[in-house]
Amino acid sequence: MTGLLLLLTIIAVTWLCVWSARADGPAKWSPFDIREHQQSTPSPAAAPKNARAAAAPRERQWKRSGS
Amino acid sequence: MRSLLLAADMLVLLGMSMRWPFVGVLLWSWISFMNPHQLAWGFASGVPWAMMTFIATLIGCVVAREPRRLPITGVTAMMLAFMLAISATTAVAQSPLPEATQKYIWAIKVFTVLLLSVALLTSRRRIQALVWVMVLSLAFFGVKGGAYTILSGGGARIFGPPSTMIEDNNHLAVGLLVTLPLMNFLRLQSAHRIVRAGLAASMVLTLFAVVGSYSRGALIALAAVAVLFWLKSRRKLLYGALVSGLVAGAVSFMPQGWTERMHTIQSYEQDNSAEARLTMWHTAWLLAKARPLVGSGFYGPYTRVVVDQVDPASPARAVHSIWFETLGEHGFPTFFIWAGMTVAGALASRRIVRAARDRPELAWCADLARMAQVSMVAYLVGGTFLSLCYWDFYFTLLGVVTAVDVYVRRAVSGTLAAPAPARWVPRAAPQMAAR
Repeated sequence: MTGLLLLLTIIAVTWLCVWSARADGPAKWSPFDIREHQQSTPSPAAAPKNARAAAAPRERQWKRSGS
Repeated sequence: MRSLLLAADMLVLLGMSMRWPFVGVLLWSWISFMNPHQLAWGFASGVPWAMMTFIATLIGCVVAREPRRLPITGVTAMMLAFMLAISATTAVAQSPLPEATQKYIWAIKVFTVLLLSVALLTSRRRIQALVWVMVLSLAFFGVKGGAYTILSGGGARIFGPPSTMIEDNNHLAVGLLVTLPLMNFLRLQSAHRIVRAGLAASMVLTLFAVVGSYSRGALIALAAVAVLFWLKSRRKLLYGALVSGLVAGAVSFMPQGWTERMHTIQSYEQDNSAEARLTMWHTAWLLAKARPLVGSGFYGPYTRVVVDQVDPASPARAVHSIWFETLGEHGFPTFFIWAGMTVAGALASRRIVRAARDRPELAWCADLARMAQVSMVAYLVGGTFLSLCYWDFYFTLLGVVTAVDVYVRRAVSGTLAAPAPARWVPRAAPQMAAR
């Protein structure tokens, strides 16, 4: 039993080390996945200045595609 | 085989630590809390993995290009002050210098990595990862001990990770009680039903391990944890029935010998173990009074010649109380700094709960803060009867709380870095646009 638990712990810790190296947000499946709550709308002051400009053309493209 | 597997794994993780220093933090925590190499027979048990991890992590901090600024909060300020204070008390320690210096170097290493951890705990994922490592390190002994208790009908004693502060059954029991709320936090947060079920089963087994430790101090701490668990829970009726049912079930499972031992709590005056504790508390108090500013130094109450100066009739041994041990070893100023770490952690957790109210994206922070409060009470109540004043696991918990506090403040002020987008999002948008 000790050997099995030790093996599971080694696998879990190694997985966690790889998992933690990624940034927050959705990624590949892992047993450590977290329940995501709905993100609140970020304040306009906090957003980068070019964020709105970058998002605008994509919105238009989506409309044009008709889908 | 175990030794080879563990050594290979450690070497891979050491390499990763030099690229991602936070991996070094996780590895250091795992080694410190669980001592996994001591569970693997063979050459791996003799390798100084902790020192290697410490060096690899420091290299990683120099090499890795990521922002690392230590947030100055109540907890981190107290930790820095504690490092300075024990430097002063060790310089004038009455206890033998080699032993005192050895313990001092260990404490400085622990707090250095801890402060580094706080600086690197910048995302939700990292905070969760560290909590997972903390839980896995102790749940190993909780699950094993719980299964062992059930299979032996409550007749066997359980022990903690070899060559650590919680190797003894009493210390392990309190350690497991501190871990239980963190397990519950992960259970609340997990996205997968199977993981939640696994954590719930581990919690039940850990509860059996706590009871199966035969520790009277842990039983008192268990009562405090059960009440606080209930107070912090959202569904009070359900949790009340569940917690009381589980505790009653575990207690009624234990044999007559266990019940008799627990009944001695009421007649502690006739118990040698309890009597010796009271004597040592008094001796530690006398040591603190004799040198109120600096105490007797690390291992002072354990040293015959030091104890002889205040109470020759008293034994020279462990004080068996986090409060009196800190007082006797370091005097009043360091004691207040040490206690200040907990006060700052408690205030931070309260702040988190308030700030996260009505913010669903920060609900996990409030859950963690609430469970950390239960863990703190478990440590403070259980530690009243044990020598666990420098337990790195507890200070790591305080470090996690302060990192969450900083995270919440950034989220509220809107300066938190946005999470990375899912992989499919950037690909999907141009494809749709092209149609």
